[in-house]
Amino acid sequence: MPRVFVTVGTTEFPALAQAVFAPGFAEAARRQGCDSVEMQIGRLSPEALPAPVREALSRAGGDDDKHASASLDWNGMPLTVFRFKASIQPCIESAALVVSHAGAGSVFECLRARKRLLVVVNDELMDNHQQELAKAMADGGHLAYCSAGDAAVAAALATLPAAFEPLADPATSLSAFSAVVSEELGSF
Amino acid sequence: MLADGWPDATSAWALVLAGLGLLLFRLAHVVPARLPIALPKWLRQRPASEGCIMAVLGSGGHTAEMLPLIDTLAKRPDLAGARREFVVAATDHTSVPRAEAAGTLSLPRDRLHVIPRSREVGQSWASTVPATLRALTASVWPVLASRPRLLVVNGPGTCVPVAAAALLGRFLGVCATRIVFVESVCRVESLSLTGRIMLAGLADRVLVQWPQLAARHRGCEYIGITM
Repeated sequence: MPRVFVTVGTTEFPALAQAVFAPGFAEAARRQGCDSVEMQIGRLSPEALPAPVREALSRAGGDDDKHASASLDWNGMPLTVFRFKASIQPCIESAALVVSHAGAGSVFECLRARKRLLVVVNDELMDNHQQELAKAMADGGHLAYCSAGDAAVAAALATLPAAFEPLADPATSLSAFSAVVSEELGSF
Repeated sequence: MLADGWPDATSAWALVLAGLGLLLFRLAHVVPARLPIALPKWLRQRPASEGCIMAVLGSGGHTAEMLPLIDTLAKRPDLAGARREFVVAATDHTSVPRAEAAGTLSLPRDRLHVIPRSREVGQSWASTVPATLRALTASVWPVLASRPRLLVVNGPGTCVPVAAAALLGRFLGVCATRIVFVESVCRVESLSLTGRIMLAGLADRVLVQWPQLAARHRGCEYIGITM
């Protein structure tokens, strides 16, 4: 059951959640051969959730339990929603592709898990270096990125390439760091 | 007993100049080799052959990026036995559990120093000055007492007073700490403010994870993505 995993991060990112609830998203997911969606919504305010989603999450105990998860049918596709998990690693591992906020932690977790990744940039953040990272990684062919808008996200998801350039092994960079330390400590 | 009229103006000036000259020489002896005033390599302060490794866990993404760096050093036969000391900001409640979960930090094997944070996100720049001074005084003791042979920092601002304390220790001859700064992988086009301060004269080496950054700022070295 190929699934799309969406993560908005630990804060709010209403524009990304909205794009997932928009009708075009399920269609784009289907174009990628996926038949279900799982979404981590962080601190998204209940008002930003469509009524059926809000009610399903509330029924699942989401009003008190930040780890509750609710499943429902949305735009003809099974959708699972939760706020937080101790680790989203299993969600990433089991997904066919990931749609993520631009935080470096999440981006590298996905790329190290060798998942196809669409990064949605939050234009509302000031001093936006996340966008810089997403663009540089896209230039290297490691991921695709788009701005947060219903149409932009759906279009980028529908046309997500079938494969990306894998990241170079960090071992090379870490040994370069280690070599610098050796030079500094005078132990060649 | 000094003779009457001594020191006269000329010799007083000579003394002051000689004193300043000595201070300047000492400074040139200990500042990062990159700086124009630094003495040639064979005249510079030698690194220590033993001592602990100190790292500042900067919070959030900075901590996440720091852990693989420290793990890499811990795997080296020459540093595996070195004691590890970690510095965290008082307001940071996630770095220590995270570092412990990753196995990088293990108490009580490793030591932990907690210092006040120099600047909270959103704090005005004017109120940063007294806070930074407080952070500096709080950083001096942990650094001078543990006399690390190596200090690894990667931002944010919390690590600036710690690096400054290490440089002060070098000037005073208390320690010979070498300071290595690694810029965050998020900085692609321009150095962070912390990175610019490090490059200006605090860190011995400034390492970056994107080639365009090394091309833009002289003195930075490109090592590639460590995440």
